[in-house]
Amino acid sequence: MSSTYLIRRLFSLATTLAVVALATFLAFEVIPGDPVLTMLGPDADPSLVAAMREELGTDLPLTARLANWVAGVLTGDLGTSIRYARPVGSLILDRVAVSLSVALLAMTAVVLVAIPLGIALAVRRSHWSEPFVATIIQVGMAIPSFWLGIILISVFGLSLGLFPTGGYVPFGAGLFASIRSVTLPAIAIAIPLIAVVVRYTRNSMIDQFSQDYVRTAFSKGFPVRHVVYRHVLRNAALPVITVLGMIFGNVVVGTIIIEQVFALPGLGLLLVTAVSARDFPLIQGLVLYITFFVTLFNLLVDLAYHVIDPRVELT
Amino acid sequence: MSGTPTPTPAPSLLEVRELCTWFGPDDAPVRAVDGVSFRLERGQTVALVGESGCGKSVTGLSIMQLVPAGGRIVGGEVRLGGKELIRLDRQEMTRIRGRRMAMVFQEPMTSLNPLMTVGEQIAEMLRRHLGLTRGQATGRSAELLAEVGFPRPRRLLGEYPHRLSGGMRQRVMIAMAQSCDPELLIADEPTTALDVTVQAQILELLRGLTARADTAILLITHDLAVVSETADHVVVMYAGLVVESAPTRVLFSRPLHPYTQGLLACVTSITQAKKRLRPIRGTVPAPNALPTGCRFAPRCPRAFARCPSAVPPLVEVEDGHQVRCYLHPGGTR
Repeated sequence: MSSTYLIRRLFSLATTLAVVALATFLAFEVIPGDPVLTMLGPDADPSLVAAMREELGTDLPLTARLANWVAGVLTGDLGTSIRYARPVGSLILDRVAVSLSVALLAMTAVVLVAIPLGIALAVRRSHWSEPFVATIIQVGMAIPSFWLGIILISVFGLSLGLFPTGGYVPFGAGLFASIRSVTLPAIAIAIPLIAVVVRYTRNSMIDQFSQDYVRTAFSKGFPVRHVVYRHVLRNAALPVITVLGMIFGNVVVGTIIIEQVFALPGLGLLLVTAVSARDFPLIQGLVLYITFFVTLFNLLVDLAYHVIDPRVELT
Repeated sequence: MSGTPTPTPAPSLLEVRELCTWFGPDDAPVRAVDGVSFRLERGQTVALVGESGCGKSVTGLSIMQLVPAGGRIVGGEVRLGGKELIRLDRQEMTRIRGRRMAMVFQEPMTSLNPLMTVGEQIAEMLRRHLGLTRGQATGRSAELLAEVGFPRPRRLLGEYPHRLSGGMRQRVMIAMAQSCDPELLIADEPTTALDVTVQAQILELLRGLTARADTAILLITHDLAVVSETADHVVVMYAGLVVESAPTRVLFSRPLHPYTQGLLACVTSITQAKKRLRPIRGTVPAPNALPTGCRFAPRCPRAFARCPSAVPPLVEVEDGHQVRCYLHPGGTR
């Protein structure tokens, strides 16, 4: 892999961030809503409103506000949240730990369960089991995760008392307790995703089984296991990795409904609050964060492609 | 080397007897291979000839016990050195495939694993079947590549198949197939996808294999020019059946079955440049809608009243020359 390739990709990542940030900026210029009026109410004293606007800088023209914001971001300052009156950077950082631990746990479960299951279902495919497998996968994909969350709370939280029913325990308060606090939400997120990844893994494997090189491998006198793990698996990995990258990008930026169900102070809830309060600096900061992660995972998927498949040139 | 079977008590290297491989549902099967018999002696090259769809490739895959999904061997015997293969379990079969018989396929572009280096793909066979260490296998792989004509085999070991041409890939396939010194090599249209000049190189390589290593070759092809240059004996197939079987020289000089005669009339020759090509009229019958009686009768210029009655038997008309045609009942005519 050449360093010019990496530089070019990082440059394109920066461009994407800039375009998305500008688009969000302009979008909130067009849609109605004002952070000051939201805070003070529609019947507020006009002089108070004007003073507050001046203090927050929302009375400045668009170009000036944009320039201020960009200058801040370049020096590492994402501005101050209007709603919380705290620096946007530290506000996001507080929540990242919550969303990231849920995401990592969920994705670990997805990878560890879905990929072996997908492989097994592809290898042990039979005519009579086909409709059952398809149905179970369909159901798994269709289950809403909030419903799963509620069931998990009532069974494992309330009835069995194995896990807390909600809330987040930070790392500092003990690793075990912290992991326990995000286990149920991670499972609720993971199950529908497992169904998706099982389907992709299985279909991709089955697709590869009909390829000529598989027949060659069998003609060389290898048992099924060797053919599956040494030959088919790598060839089947590419579409699965693409899906995993997309899923991870989505999960890592927080899941609003699951955070709501489990009362987790994650990024999803922060974003909802920021948008309804028209908290522009916070919205901008969150959008930057989300865009960064999604493009980062795209980059990682592309790099993984190159590592797995020598035919994929990085140009 | 003669095409006639040697009268020794030792069993033939390969004996296929009444092999039937069918596809599709049991109540309406597609009889791709419908009772094929032939034998192959050590060091001999036998060509299996016929139009596409005649069942020659399925015969090859049936011998390897690699019938594609949807197909199954419903009857007959495949004996390798006297040992019945059809009833062997999967594990026993993996010890025979690659080790005692190997296969080269028609599509060199897709028959190699695109994500493994050439070296890995050869070495994994040596390690599995011959128990070589990683280092030994690498060294032997380079030797094998040199044997199939690569000038710098060491460098090729680390290459991926997509960097190689079709001819190079087919040579890699041959190096791989002969890596464990098999007694039988099944080559399914090994030159069809290649340029004419490259075809000649590949055929030369296969010929060298029989001469040097005493490997027997079952050459599956539709190309009669290839057959005349390579094979000791020819088996002609039509619609799932053997219609004629003879030593190569005999078949080319005295073809008895009207279908064989038709096939030979389709071949161009420089010495007969003025002669018109005579295509066989009609098309191959669909294997699920076979005519009753002789399957070639509807297309046959010499068909007569008896032909549609029943499938004619395969009869020996002279030493090593068999034909399935009512024009030659029991070799009397």
